[in-house]
Amino acid sequence: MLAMLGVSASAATTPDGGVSASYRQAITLLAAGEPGVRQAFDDARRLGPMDPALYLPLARACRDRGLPRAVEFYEKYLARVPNSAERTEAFAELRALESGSEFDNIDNGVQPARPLVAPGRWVWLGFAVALVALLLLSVRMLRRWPRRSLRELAATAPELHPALAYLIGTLRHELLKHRVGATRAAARAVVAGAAEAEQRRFLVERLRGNPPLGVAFRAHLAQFPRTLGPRFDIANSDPEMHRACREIAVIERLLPRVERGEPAAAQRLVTALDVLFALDTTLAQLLSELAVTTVDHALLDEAVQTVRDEFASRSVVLDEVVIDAAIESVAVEIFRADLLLVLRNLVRNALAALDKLPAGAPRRLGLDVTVELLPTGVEMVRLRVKDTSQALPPTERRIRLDRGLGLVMAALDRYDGSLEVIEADADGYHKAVVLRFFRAFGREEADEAVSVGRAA
Amino acid sequence: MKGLLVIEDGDEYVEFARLFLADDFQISVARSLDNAKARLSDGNVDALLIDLRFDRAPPETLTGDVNETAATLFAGDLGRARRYLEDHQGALILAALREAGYLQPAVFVHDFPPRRLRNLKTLYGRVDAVPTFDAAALRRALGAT
Repeated sequence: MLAMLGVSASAATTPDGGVSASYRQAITLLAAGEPGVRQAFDDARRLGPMDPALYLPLARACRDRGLPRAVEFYEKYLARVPNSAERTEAFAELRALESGSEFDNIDNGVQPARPLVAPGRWVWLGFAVALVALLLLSVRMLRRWPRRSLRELAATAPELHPALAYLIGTLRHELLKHRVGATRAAARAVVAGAAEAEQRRFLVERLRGNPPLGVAFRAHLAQFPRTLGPRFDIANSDPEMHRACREIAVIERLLPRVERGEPAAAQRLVTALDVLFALDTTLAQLLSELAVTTVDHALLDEAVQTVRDEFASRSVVLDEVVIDAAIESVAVEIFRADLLLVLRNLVRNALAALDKLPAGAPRRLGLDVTVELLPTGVEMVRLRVKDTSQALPPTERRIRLDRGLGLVMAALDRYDGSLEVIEADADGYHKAVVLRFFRAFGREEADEAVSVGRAA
Repeated sequence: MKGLLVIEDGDEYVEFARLFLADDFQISVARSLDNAKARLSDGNVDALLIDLRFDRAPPETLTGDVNETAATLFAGDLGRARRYLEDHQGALILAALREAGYLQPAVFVHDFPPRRLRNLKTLYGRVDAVPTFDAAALRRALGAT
């Protein structure tokens, strides 16, 4: 065996001393399938480089062990030992390896090679093809894979929160409440085998509906990118919406069986409905977290101070600035930076108007907040910026607002707020600009719960 | 048997009530404030089940003055005023019924924030809300015996 590999005992004595002997020892171990091959090669490598003539016995040992690197070693041998007597033999062995045919070697009297895992170049080619296919598959999956949740998207666009709140409210009201919400009791009755035919009909009709549930759901989701921009393609990006779409497809498939009163189908239906109820809960939670700002003394004071620090406002001498400290802390649905922008504009305008007053006229600025409970149970928050400048005739008020406060009006429109100039109140102010917002309930209640939890 | 008046702009509530609450209540339905007052004046209404949002109702049947609402809440914006009246119509109908002296317990199927439900109770006495169409919870809230 060793003779066939070209490793002989006599060859151990070479001019390079122990180096070739060490490599031969390692090759012998490899050919015999003995342990310690790697260590033997490492030891030899530490002594010096391998004599290229030894590539041939190494290639043969690899071939006999079925190792694909045999091809590489044959090639190195042929390249680096061009005048070898064994060149023809080595070339034939390499050709036999690459063609993969054992019978080619018989005439040459060469030990037939064991089949390798794969011929060298084909292995690499196959690997490359598989890699490209995997890459393409990954890209395709990534494109379909849920990316950003609605919550994450909402966090990046506080100015869209009022529109988002409206869309979520509509989805919950029209679909999750009216079409899905009413079916749970009927589905459970079918599971229990207690549903009357009329209840089964109600269940199926409500879920099948016109338009079908899946169509209606997708139509609601399509409103999000249409209204808020393409980033809000939540049908594809939000995992929970994704899952809801899948479960709605399941519901639609189950309906014929549910109609026949099959408890197993109804049981699966209840599971699918639970997913939609969970989505409803998530949406309710998200609604309570949308951009809200607490309006309090600190916020009003910040608005006034920021404007007073501006160069143009510094020279305006005032008799009095009153910020109503008696206000309760109240949350409104607007991003804090936007509310400050609006308030600063109003304060700036008030200061400019006061600056034009003749000498001796009272120059007073006041800010306050009132909250009114409306018959609908919602609360209207009014922020007033009041001053003692000349009141505007009613006919001019709207014109002044449109001309002078275009940016403010645009900001307020986004947040479902409104603005109005009114006449003086009893405190001696001559005019007031009133900002109106609906009170945001969710955040305050969450804060209350947190503070109660902390106190406990 | 107790009487339940369902007040809504569609059929969802009454259909649900007839299928799941009919053992406990005799069901009648009203589509507007005037309609509700007529049913209540007929008698045999012990509880009210009220839809909050009336976005399918003809504008002329809505309770509330759109011009006044626009002037007092929305700086003259009629579109927003109309939407407000639709979105809160159930509460406005309840307000008008209480004013007319009808004090029956009222239940909404709505997940009101707790503060808003407290406000409604403060304004209108016996008011409750059930977040979803849960027949057992509705029976309890409506005082079925």
